[in-house]
Amino acid sequence: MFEQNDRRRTLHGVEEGTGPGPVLVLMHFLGGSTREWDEVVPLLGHQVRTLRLDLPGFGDSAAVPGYSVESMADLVDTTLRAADLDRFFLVGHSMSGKVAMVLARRFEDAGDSRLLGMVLVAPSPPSPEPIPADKRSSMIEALGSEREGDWHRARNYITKNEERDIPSPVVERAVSEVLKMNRAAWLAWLTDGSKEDWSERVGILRLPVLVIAGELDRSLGPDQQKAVTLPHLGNAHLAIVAGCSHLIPIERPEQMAALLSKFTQDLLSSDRPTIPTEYLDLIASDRLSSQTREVLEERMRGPQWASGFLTANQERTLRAAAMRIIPQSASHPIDLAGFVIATLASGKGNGWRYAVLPADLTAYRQGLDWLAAQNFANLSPEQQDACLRELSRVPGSPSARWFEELRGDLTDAYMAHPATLARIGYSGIGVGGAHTPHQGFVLLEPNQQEAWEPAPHPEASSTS
Amino acid sequence: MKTYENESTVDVVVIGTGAGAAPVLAKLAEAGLSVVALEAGRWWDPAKEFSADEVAMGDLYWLGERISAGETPTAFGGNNSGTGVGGSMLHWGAFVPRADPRDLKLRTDTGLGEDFPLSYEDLLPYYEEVERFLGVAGPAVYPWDAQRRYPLRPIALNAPAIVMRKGYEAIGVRTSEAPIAAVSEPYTQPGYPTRQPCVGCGFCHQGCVFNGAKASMDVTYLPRALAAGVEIRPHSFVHSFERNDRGDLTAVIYRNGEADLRQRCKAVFLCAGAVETPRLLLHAGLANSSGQVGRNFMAHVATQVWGTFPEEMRMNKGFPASLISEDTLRPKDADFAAGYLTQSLGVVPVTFARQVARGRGLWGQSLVDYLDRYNHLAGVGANGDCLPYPGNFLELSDEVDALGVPKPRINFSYGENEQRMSEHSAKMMTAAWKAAGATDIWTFERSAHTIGTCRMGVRPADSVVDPWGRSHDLPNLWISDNSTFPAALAANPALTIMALALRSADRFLEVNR
Ligand SMILES: Cc1cc2nc3c(=O)[nH]c(=O)nc-3n(C[C@H](O)[C@H](O)[C@H](O)COP(=O)(O)OP(=O)(O)OC[C@H]3O[C@@H](n4cnc5c(N)ncnc54)[C@H](O)[C@@H]3O)c2cc1C
Ligand code: SF4
Repeated sequence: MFEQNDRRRTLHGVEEGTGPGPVLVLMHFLGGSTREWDEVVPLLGHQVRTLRLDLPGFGDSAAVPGYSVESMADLVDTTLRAADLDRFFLVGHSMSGKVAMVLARRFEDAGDSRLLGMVLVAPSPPSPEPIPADKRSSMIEALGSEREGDWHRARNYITKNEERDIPSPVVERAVSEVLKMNRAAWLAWLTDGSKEDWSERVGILRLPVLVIAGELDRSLGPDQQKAVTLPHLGNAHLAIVAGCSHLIPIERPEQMAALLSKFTQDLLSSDRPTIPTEYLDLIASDRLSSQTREVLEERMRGPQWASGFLTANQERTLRAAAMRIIPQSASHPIDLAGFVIATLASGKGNGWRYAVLPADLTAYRQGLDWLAAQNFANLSPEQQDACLRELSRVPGSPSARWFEELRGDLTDAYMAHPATLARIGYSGIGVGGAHTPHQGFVLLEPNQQEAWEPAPHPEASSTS
Repeated sequence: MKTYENESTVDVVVIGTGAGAAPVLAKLAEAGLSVVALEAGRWWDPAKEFSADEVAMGDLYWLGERISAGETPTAFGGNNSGTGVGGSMLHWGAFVPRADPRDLKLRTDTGLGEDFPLSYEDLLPYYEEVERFLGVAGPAVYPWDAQRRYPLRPIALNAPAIVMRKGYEAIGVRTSEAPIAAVSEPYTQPGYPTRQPCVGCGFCHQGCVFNGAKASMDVTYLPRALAAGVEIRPHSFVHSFERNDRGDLTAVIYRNGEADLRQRCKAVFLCAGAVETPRLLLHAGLANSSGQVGRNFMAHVATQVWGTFPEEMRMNKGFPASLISEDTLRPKDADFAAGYLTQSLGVVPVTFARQVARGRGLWGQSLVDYLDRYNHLAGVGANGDCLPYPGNFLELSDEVDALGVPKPRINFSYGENEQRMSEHSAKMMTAAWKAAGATDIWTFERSAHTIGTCRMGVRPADSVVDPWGRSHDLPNLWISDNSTFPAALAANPALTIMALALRSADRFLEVNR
């Protein structure tokens, strides 16, 4: 337990874990508490240090006043200082996502590098949250004051009238946490906090952020996050959680824990493909339009994450197949499988499919299951190649068509990556845009090269 | 932009804003009619939103899923279908040969395929009108038509075009700078600020960001239409119609965001392309007393030959297809009917790599090694006629999209004629590539463009629309897009679609006067 020096100026917190790494500061949604992380924390493992906080008016901070976004941020700030952490990540969920962004702005302005990054789970955006007026008033009506039938209404709030898939003991616990809250905090968020406009103040944050959105979340899901939150984040990744709505930590604790681990570990190890300096200079130069540069920079940060679309075994098999289809020996290979999974998760497809194949994701699952049944990931390279050849033995068959899709999708991911474009000496990124000083090409004949055109760099992501 | 109320009855609703739609919009509005265009896709701002990145520009393509069946299933999406204000013309290659007069009467000449119910002379004034308005760049003298004059001087040849000319010369086949609908000098037309010359960026298939260089509809016919008072509504997917007791169409129902809206109108021009047009008609159960809606789906024989050159090609540079040959429109040694034209090819890396992985079937180290040679590769490709067959058609599948409209399923198999034509073209192009100095030459078989499915004809019993695009069944429904073609023609389709669109619009004004 974390000591509360002053019951009105710091928040109740729960500390766990013993490792040397940075601390994950976990905050909750409106009506939640430290307990919303009960399932996730054990999954992170003992060596991960966590500090969970009850925000003012909730959980064991029910008596602490200060419900505006600014007051919440102040209290979190004071609490973190009191805890004297040297490196940490802020993890905000829904309401507390907004608080985290406001706090991150303060850390950036102060040049305070103890804050390493943020994970925002279905965050409420810095701008007023677009809650339809009727929904807002029915929420105020439901739990704005203590009265008969609260239990039932709190249960509907947690389960969204039974739409959400949460184990019943967890529902029971979450409902009792809702009923513990100070109703004034509930009202304050709905009538004021969620409407406060921090978009100017937050601006664009530079620190690395993972935004996690539930595929089925209709108010703060992937599309809304892209539209209202991501514009405030200069270095963000969006992860989509399949079949999940708004209460991701209690709906999908395994995936929540896996995403937290992956994000924090990746950030600490930095294993991105290396791109030769000359090519990075070209990307930074006024040869590129800003749109092109943004797209390439985003791709260099790696694929958008998606969780729960493939099983662990399917993913392992896909990674093994990717290594055979497009061998890469670079110490930091391009995460081809990750890019393919992100595309599958986006559900966007390429506009068509062969009639012999089911929908894209199903086809991948079936194909990978077949390979996994051959124990693909543990075979020798020669045996793996034989397995892949077997897929295309009968031309036009479903397996041959899926293998064709797989080759195409991996190749898209490979070729589009700046590390590959540098490797082949591709000049097309430098054609400029409507307002750039240089546009297009003048020297078009064989063997004619313009001075700025890059030479190939076979070592850029060199293969075996 | 002028706007209309949903409840007011406009003269015409046009569905789509691509090649078949945009010229109609301009003509009808200029004649003083009230016109609303409903476009499923978004309205782009190229200068701000287009990037030189193939993956990012994927949103230019129609991504609603289509199911491709048959022996030689054709690819959709980026291969042939666009969306957005401007339709597939946002990312077209702007390669604009005219149809060969013989291709319009193939059945008369050979007993195979189908004739167009109109002649080259009917089309000629419209071809000239489109070429003049778009500012087509082309050679001073066109080797296959001495009469023809192009308004602008040709676009510069790039490396693939230069090696193609060399190879073709060596095997005795004529070539010419291609007719290209991109301007080679500053060009001014009504409704749009001066269009700037093509800078040879090589990204036509990803949308042109360079200030209107390429004649997409959003910088040509659509600004003209807007200036004449057309309202364009993006994000408007049409899925049904309303009719009165007499059977006339009275309103169009479309999905905009979460809402279904109704636009009342006196007439409808359906210009949704050769897949969405029949899909919509089959779904609505309209205009199909002939049973021909969805029938006769065709796709061009678009076989390509690739090779590695000792010189650096850097085929991403310059206008992608800048040289043409029409010498093989009726090859003397052909064992097939009709013919094909050929064009030089520069293809940007992701699209190219995907076709290597899919079409050449390379994987493993050989794929990586081959892609490493990107800067030394160049290609040449055919665009060949395709016959209509009873077994090649579009139908509604039993899967539905998000709005509950059945997804289309397209059955397409090459016949003997297409197979032989493909082989003939591969042989000729391989010989040329050898003569030009290429090694590691390989053939990529593919088909391109979506054609047919609502064929025009004189007889209501075996065609969907009349020779001007008016439905035989519903007098106030007109179709103007690639679906009305009774024959595929060897020429790339868009110029002919636009010419037919202007002709339809003239006819519409005449009969509604
Ligand atoms: C990569 C590529 C390169 C090409 N290059 C060339 C070339 O060089 N030369 C050439 O001649 N041709 C080329 N083409 C082909 C040419 O673009 C098409 O033939 C032409 O655009 C077809 O015109 P259309 O009017 O039939 O349909 P489109 O131009 O596709 O327009 C149809 C429009 O209707 C909209 N729509 C569809 N359904 C609905 C609905 N239900 N409600 C509302 N709106 C709807 C679509 O969003 C679209 O905007 C190319 C095509 C591609 C894909
Ligand atoms: S090559 Fe020319 S016409 Fe094509 S996109 Fe580039 S500038 Fe536009």
